[in-house]
Amino acid sequence: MDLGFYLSLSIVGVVNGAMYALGAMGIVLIYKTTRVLNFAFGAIGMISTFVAYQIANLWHINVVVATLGAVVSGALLGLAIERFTIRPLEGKPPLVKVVVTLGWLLILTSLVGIVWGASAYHLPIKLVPEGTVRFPGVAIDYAELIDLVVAVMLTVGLAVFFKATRLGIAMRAVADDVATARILGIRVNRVNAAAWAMGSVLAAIAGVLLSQKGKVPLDTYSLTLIVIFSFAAALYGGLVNLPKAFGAAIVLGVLQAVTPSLPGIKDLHIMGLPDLLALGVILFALLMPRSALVQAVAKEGA
Amino acid sequence: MLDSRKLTRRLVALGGIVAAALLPLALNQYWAYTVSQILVFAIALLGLTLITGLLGQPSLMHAELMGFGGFLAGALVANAHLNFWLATLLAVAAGYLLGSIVGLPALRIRGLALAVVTLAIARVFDQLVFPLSWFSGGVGGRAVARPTIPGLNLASDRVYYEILLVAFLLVLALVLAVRRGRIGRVFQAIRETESGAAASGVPLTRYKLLGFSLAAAIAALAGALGAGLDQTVTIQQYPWTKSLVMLAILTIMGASSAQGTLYGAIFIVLSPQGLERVPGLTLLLGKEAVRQLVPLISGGALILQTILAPRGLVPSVGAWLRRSRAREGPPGGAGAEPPGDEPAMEVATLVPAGSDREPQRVGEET
Repeated sequence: MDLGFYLSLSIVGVVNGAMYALGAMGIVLIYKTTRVLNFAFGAIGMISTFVAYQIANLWHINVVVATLGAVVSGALLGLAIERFTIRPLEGKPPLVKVVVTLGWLLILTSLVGIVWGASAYHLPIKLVPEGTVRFPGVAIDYAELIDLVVAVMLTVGLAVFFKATRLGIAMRAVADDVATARILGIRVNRVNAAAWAMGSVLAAIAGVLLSQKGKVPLDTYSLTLIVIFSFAAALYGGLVNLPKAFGAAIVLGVLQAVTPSLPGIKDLHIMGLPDLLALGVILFALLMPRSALVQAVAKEGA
Repeated sequence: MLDSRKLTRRLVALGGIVAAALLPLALNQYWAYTVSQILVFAIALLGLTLITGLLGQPSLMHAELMGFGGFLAGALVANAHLNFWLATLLAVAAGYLLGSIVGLPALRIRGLALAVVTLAIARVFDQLVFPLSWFSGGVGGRAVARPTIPGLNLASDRVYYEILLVAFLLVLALVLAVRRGRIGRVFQAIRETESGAAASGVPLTRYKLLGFSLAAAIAALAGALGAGLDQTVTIQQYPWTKSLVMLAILTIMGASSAQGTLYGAIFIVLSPQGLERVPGLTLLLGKEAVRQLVPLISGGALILQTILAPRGLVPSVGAWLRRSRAREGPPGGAGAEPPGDEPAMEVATLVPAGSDREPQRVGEET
């Protein structure tokens, strides 16, 4: 048994899990604040990543501008979706709003297919040069290192945001009790818009980071559907619990990285193992006693 | 008076069936195949109305259940050398069982979270089950010989269409019977308020799983009959957006309207071909991009409909027609909108009416 081998696999897993965690945080952020489960989340990340691709690989402007472009387009898209298709549905049941996000999922994926080609190969964006950093025992790619750094920065940033900024506190108030928040003078619409913008930016960043080096192929469905892993993690946290969602994302990432190489499973060459593991996490969340998921759904009433 | 209205409706329905049965006589080979495809999707959508419209459980895996039926029937014919009809029967039975398995998560959660779970299940089918070459025939798919019935020339699409029409009418009768009977009332009770239904003694587990089983069995039937129609079943026929498009279209048309399934199926089948025929569009965008327009249009229509006509297109247009008819009608008849005029179009969106209140308010009441 080569422990070092599994250790380096686990590190890859933690890095991937951190990316799913970014997505899960975005999903939870939007859901908790606005009570909309955003099925278009992955598609928003995907189209933002294509904007970065356009800037970096087709226009040959540098990758910093490209990443900024992805962030800005993610934010604008989130704002537009909220303003024009979610806000008019205020007071409607949650499922109606979900149907709208399904509509956006279809629109965005086919739009990208039309503009950039659905089945064409797209060269991945290169955010950082090739190379590895050596730590005692393991070596980590620059690409993975930047994933990790960004994920940690954003997680800490979000924690500070919710604790120490006016908007963050307002967001928590709206998540807790819309009516009271409104009475206290919080502009709920603005807070909702901010949640959509921030969540969509998280989608964009996760998309750009996941697609670098071609880890996730840059096409219409891979990035769109990788959101399933974030959804699985978010579900584990009952769609509201950020730390639980974060932990589940990391665990899922590690499981996905390690399981295919385990003796006994290695020779089976199971396709779709990552998806099976994601479903496993969801089922675990369903069956666990005192499950955050079941409790959260039960609390929704009706 | 009510009786005569009932009679008229029955006559109209009978006329519609006769017209549908005679339809192939007026069609060339290409259109006979196309209307047959429409029937296949109409059958599948009928299953989706049961689970999503009537029982109120959003399912994002319906196309995968359809594919499951098609692949399984194909595999049974190819590997076990079974007769196609027997294989179809087994696929429907397997679909029924599968439905009660994939329906299990619905026992603990519902609504939004359940939709995510069905999407994850669909993903496992797309990535894990469908690529198995002994099951699906692999990348190239599997050839399925057109089934035969002694004395009938099923090789002709015009004749096979009649088989599909019979299947569609049988499934329609089943769905209508379920809806009007005890099961349908229980389903609606579960949709409206689950805890209320449970409190009044409804065995939730049994009825929820029954709903998923029926929907999956109907989807499997559509998939198997579709494989017989196309004489092939391939992974490419079931792209991951298909379930989403099906749910979108059904929601647009009105999730529980029986006519909605037919219009929805017409849209799903005809829109790619229709768009390819728009002059210049293919030249401008390329063939691949034009096909991409279908989800784009469905998505856009879905959003517009949700905002502008939330009850679904068929019920909304129906209500609008009735209103304008009442306005233009004779003075005595104005406003005399008979209750129960159109039971088949009874309004039921995807959503339980009881969940209209904001979730946050629940806490306030206590």
